[in-house]
Amino acid sequence: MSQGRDVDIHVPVLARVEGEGALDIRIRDGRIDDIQLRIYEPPRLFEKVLEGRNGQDVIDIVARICGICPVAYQMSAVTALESIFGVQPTPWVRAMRRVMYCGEWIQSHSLHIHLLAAPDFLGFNSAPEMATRYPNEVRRGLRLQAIGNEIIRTFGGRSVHPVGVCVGGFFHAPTVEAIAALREKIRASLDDAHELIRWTATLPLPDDQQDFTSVSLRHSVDYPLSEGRIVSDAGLNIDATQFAQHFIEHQVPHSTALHAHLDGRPYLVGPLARLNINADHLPAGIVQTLQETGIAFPSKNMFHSVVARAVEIAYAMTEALRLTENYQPSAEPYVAHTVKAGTGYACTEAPRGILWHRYSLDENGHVLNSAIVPPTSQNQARIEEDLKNALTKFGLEKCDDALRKHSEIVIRNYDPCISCATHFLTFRAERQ
Amino acid sequence: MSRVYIFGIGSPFGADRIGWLAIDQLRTHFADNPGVILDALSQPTDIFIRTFEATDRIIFIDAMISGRAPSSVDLFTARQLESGAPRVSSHGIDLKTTVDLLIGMDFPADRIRVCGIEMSSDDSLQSMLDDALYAACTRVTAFVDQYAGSICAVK
Repeated sequence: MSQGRDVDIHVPVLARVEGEGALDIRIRDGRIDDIQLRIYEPPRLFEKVLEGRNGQDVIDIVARICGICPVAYQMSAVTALESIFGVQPTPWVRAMRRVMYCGEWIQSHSLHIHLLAAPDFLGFNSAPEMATRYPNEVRRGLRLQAIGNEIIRTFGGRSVHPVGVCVGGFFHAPTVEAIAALREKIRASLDDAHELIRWTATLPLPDDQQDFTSVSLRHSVDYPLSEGRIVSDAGLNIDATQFAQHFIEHQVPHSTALHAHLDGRPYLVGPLARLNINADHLPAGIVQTLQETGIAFPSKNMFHSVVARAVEIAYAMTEALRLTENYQPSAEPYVAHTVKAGTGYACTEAPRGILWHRYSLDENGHVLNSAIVPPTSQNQARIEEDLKNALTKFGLEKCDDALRKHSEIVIRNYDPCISCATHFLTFRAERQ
Repeated sequence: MSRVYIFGIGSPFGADRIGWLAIDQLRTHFADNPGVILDALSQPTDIFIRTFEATDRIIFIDAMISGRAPSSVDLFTARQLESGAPRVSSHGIDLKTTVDLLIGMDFPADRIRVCGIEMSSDDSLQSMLDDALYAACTRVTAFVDQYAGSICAVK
């Protein structure tokens, strides 16, 4: 196959995904002329659904936006609502929300590493196939995922679409016994989490150095979950109220999901961006484990995302243990509030990156209008930019099937909600 | 000596709650048998928080849509599960893939059963809910009772 070939690659259906999309690549004279990650899933119109709803409805409805990160949606929503009502959550509430959020990171990252990403890097067609050769690793991953779900269930009643969060805190406080049992499970798997960091560092990850801007929350003390300012490694430093002044959403013809740019350029959100910006907030024990691997952050290798996820699993487990040490249930698990009109903003760190919410309420506390900017939407432009760089480096002269497979790996590396199934690209090439 | 794990998969509402309702009923039935462990789960992969021995048995109870008459109940072996494309995404792993993972990690396929309870898209299930639950619990308890002599108490 010659280097100067012209090829149109159409991936008409990204099958078996949570969302509907496709990939089109046009190669002319041996160079990528155009690349489009097309998302054609009909808009879900959640922001419209929220209009006229009260605060608790908002918290429960936004949890339905995503099956794997409902906690993130609830946390961004409740924080924005509390800013309108002037509610200051107690230290107990802030700590327990952080623990609940840790559960979501653990389960989401673990699922991605073991069942979606690792088969790519180890050359398996599926996770069950990989399990026959790596049973201990898969078992470890599933155990970690289940611990994450157990944390969510402890605070939210169930791990899918939890219902425990309310304005001001939680509807109920877990018992001492429940937290003790949870802590025992987390503690028993903490070594697994460190071993996972080491294991991901041994995966045959492509060396894919790229130039990109990392964006994440940044807290003065903690690794960011539910609190902090929005910063970039290019000097941005704003609070959530200023988001829309810097991050411009725009419609592109090939996607029903809005693209987002920062200062006119794509940017990265998610675990790699978070770790690039917040590595100095990791506990010493995790820093030591990471140093043993020889992988350093900040990193410009996009495929170090998988290592970053492992690091964040270990962090989330360590943090959950720290925050529940000497746990006592709060006699008042939520702060009472009075509804009022206003506009509130919040940004928290979903597993896939920053999740920004804005709500305007009337005097009865009902939603007049809202805006939600999820991480996968923000990463779309970066994915297209990444694909162009990564496929060019991979070698456009390679056969269509190899290009398709590498495209899949590049996209999956972002753990996108719209294209998160394994081996989802149905591939068709048109040659001139 | 082994244990029997019975997992109801579902949610608190709608037809999908039948897996949880079955667990509620079975808890009463097996209250005096500490070798039978029951749990109501939101997603099947939550089973992996536990450690299974190759001598254990695992039974899933879940709603199904197969075209059978609403409320009909079947007890499938792992090999009998429909071979439709399993769903693996960042949003979750389905029951078929969970069973495949168990087998892939050397859990014996012949020690897995899936109790499927046929759902209906209309309201007809509601009127037959009690019958469906009774049938499902009967099938599951009959299966477990076969091995009653080999079930040991859990520490």
